[in-house]
Amino acid sequence: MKCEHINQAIDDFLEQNLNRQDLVDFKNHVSECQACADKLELSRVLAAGLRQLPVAQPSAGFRQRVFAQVRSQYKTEHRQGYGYTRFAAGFASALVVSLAIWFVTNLYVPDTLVDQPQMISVAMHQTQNVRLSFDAQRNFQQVQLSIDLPANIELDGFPGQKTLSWQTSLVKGQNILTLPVFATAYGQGELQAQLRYGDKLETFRILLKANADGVQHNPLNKARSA
Amino acid sequence: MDIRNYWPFKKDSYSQFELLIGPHLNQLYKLAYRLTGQRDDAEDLVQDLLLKLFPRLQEMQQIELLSPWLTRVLYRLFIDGIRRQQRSPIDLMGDDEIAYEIHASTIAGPAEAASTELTNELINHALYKLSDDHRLLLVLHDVEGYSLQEINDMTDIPVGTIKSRLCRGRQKLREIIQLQGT
Repeated sequence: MKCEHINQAIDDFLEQNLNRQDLVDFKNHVSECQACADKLELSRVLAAGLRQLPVAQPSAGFRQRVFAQVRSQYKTEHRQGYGYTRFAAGFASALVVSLAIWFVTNLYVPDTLVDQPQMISVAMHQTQNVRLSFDAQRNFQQVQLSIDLPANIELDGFPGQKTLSWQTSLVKGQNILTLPVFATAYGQGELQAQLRYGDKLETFRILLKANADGVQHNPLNKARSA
Repeated sequence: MDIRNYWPFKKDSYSQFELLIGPHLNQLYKLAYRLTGQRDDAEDLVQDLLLKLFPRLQEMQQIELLSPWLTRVLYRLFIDGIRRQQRSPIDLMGDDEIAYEIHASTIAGPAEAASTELTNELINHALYKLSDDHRLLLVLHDVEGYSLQEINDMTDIPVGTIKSRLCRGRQKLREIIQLQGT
């Protein structure tokens, strides 16, 4: 082994990558060459020093601060995009509307079927709770619940998501699902709720109409408002 | 009559994001610190990373091995920052260029350097005299212990190139240490 090859050989030696013959050659060389022996020793010390380099601890509150910044930035962007800045006030004064939908399957006695989509008016740029009521005839486990939103509606805290789906269970009687809806544009669209249980699928639809004041004039909703 | 609230997302996207990223935050900060060398810069880098990642929450929720994915994104973000700062791309894939000329005549003898006490400050100082190409690979491999394959996954630099750059980087580091020891 020659001195000009020692750098790579030192790396391979320290990482135990030399084969038997190269290892013999390497050891013979460093035992005879003081310069390369010194280089090897420095490499050993340096490698150990690099592994022990400390990391300065982050400043106090770092974790809370970075996540708060994410929340702050996207909350602000979300609202500013729609020209709405007083989110907190808007949420506090949110109009709560409710809608009753009866959960019916072929296995159970039908109570009331919703033939036509009901309409709910929501005010632009305000978070409003829309409550869906599912009336189950008995307990259900492993029910797949999916919500599809119209183009102009979002759920607060889920910017950009138009579909949400999750597993849940239903108890016998009334089951309430509260959706924090947020209208991003004028117009109306259909919110679809699907309940899947085994091979049974129930689909419910309501029309969400976004207008300036969120005033609703639908007698069916009025009769069932909470 | 039983009444239950069936809205399962008591934790909104922001909270889901925190739950997803939170366990990796220390690792990300540590890597950011190794890359930047400064606490404030490392914190800023991690903050930038999180701001860029939040819109990709759904994508991240589908990723099985999130840790290597996150380190790769962090590394890319850091490299993008360097490129912006320098206003010209650094050559991560090209030939090895030695950024610092060390004249052999000014280098202390190896025996002298070996006997020099290698303080953390001395090593850190030497590390930041290396070119970015060499320093980044050294901190990833020799300091943080990422394997060659992991570094390849993170940086897209071929393993052979990583090995040769590590060798050159270590050589340069030794020379700088020896120079500092004089």
